[in-house]
Amino acid sequence: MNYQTSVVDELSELMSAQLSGKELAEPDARRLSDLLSEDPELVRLAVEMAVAHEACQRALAKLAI
Amino acid sequence: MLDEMSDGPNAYTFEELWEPAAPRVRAYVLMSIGSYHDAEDIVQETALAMSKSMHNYDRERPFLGWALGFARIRILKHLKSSGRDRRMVFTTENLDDIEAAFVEIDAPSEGPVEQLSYCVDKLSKRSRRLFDLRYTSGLSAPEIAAETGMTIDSVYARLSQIRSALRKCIGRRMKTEDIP
Repeated sequence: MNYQTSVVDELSELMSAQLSGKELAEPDARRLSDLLSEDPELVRLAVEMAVAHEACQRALAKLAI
Repeated sequence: MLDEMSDGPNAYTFEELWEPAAPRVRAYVLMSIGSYHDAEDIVQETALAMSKSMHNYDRERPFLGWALGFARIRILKHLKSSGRDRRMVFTTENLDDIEAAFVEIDAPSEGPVEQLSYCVDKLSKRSRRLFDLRYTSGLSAPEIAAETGMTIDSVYARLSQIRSALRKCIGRRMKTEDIP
């Protein structure tokens, strides 16, 4: 499926905020939920972002030790 | 050992199953609550609860899926206890889809034929019907048009889109599984 870059960018921005622990404003939270409801491909992208974010956090935690 | 699987060659300890799954569980928790430190606590609680319930684990099911179910309970409990349950971003349906995506990403390597089967199952009902009419029943585009009420051109266009989507789906899954 070809998504418009803007949708992927929007998902990326919302996921970045969510993964960094920022409390999303209600419209943003709803939008993120809606995007994930739209298509499994967007869910997969979001999950890949989370996996990458977790790997970075784990690497940073090791460096801190 | 309480947390050891009991059957012969499939006798994996909890630790052997948990270790590769833990980063994915942590990613799932992070995705749900954001805070890395809180996520770590939830992951530890999840591991503890799972190790105590290991005798209930069905080896026919993916271990990661089982783990994410345990994690979900603890995520919801954490959000409720911190008064953030109303701020939960994801719906139950979102969480179901997210957990399924985590398990899919972790799926063992399969060949293109198995991948095609998986990707066909992911087609929408409408696309799946067209796919079956063309490739299972062997109907021509004009016959499909007569059967469905679509124009012949739109049947050709839709079948082309379906083939393209299947190619991409298979390519994506094969590529994912190349990652060690």
